[in-house]
Amino acid sequence: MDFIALLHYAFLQNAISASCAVAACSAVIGYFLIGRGLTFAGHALPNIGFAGAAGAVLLGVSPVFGLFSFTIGAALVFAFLGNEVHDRDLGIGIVMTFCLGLGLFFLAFYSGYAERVYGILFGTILGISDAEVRLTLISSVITLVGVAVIFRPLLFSTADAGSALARGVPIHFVATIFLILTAVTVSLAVQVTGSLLVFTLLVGPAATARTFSRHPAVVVGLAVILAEAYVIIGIFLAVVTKTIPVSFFVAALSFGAYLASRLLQKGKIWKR
Amino acid sequence: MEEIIKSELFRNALLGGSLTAILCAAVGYFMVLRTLAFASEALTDIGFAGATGSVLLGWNPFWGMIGLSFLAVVALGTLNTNNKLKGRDVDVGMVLSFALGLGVLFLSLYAKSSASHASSGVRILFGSLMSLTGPVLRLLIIVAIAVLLVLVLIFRPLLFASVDPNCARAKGVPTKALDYVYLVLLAATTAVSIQAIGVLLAFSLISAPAGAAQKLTRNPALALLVAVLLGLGITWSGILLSFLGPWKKIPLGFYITSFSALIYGLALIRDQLRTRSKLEAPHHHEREINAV
Repeated sequence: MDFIALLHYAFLQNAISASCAVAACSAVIGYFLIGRGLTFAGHALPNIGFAGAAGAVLLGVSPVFGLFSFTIGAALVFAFLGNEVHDRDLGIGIVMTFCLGLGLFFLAFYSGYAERVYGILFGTILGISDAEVRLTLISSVITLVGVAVIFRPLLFSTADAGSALARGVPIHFVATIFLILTAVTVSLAVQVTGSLLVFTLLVGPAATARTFSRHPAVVVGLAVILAEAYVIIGIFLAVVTKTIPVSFFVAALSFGAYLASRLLQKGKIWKR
Repeated sequence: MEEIIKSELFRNALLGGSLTAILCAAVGYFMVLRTLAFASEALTDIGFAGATGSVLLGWNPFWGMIGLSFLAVVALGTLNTNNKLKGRDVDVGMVLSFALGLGVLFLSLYAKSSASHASSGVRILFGSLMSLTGPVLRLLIIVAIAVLLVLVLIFRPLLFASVDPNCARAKGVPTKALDYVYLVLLAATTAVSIQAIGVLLAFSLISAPAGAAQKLTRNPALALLVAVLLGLGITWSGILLSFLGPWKKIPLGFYITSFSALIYGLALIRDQLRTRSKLEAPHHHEREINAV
């Protein structure tokens, strides 16, 4: 079975175009998440989105609304929690568990078949519709444009918040906009890939890319290439094996690449 | 009502809940001191992967969780050689995402191999304190006693190493060994708590009572006591409300997570108000001196 022949199937075209868009956004956002020490927020937001989706399903509206409103609301709370790692991480964790408890509450009152909600947890990339692909592509472009607009002040305040503040960069405003863009990316990605895979794509490619270079543009570029490679290989392997989900392959690839890059980095330090 | 109180289910839930609350509060106290919130959340999720894996293989979930959590602890310890907060964040994230991937894999294989569907995975995620059985309870008692005993034995050096690792190392405290010992205790606590109360509540009870207690007082012994009392309060009110409360449909997990969030939020607000009044106080003082 060769990959080119598989590409004629519409479901595969949908899956690949949506996940490539999501992968690009995640890699770019992930670079800044790591730089700002916000990895935990990247893990919490998809879970919070899950609760929102459960609420939306209970109310009988599309999960998209729940996803967007919960993740953006949580992003604003995170922005309010400030920049001190010690308190912030604990706050993020508690907001996340509270939202998951809320999700549990919604599910308890939902009498219908909850598969739509579980799909959000574990991802349904191989079954997404044309409309969802369109929504994903449009929102990805908006997110990438948003990051491009605030790229310089964001980079400056990520690298050295103190200097940025002294130079008149509105660091709180930039941080809030960044968290909202993260929330949008997460909501999109949850729709297509499940809340578990989002986190892998957010952190994995950027973390691996950072071990090869210090130059921001190079790292972001490399992270995007890695992320695209992970999702395409992951989808291909999932289609070939039939039983194993895409999320697992993406997680395994991204972990393997990270481990290899860290070992390579250690080897370099040893030689010196 | 009396029937419910006398039922074995209720007694098991109360006993198991209280034990887990005490254990989580004590271990959580050091988690907060060491800024390990993300790592402990990761350990609970890694436990989830271990549990689904053992369900697939037909083992007791506890061994799967313990095994995978220990592997994760070793991986974290090896990846993170310089104990810097920033790098650790990423390493925890990578180990976590791989474990989640494994969890998804096990769950999808399990859902294929049997009719019982992904709902058993969801049960592990959201807990089962309402249906705690004898064997799990016995395991919980043994692990709780062992972990608390070790914690008492290493209390002073662990506290020293958690508050000021550099100073402790200079004084000859084996900080690296203590890091590992503490992570192993945390892993054992999460593994047993997941079985008793589920992934969600385990993290809630580890983080919120200890976090709130450290906002309320700076004295270590007092903070530890307050954390345990808050944990017990949250758990008991949750259990009582879900067994005896008027709204039977509301799950226990919702009560416990929202009480936890509420208590932490209140402690945070009180702390903010206090620091603000402290910041204002010196000004008054200065003015008085000037007046004199």
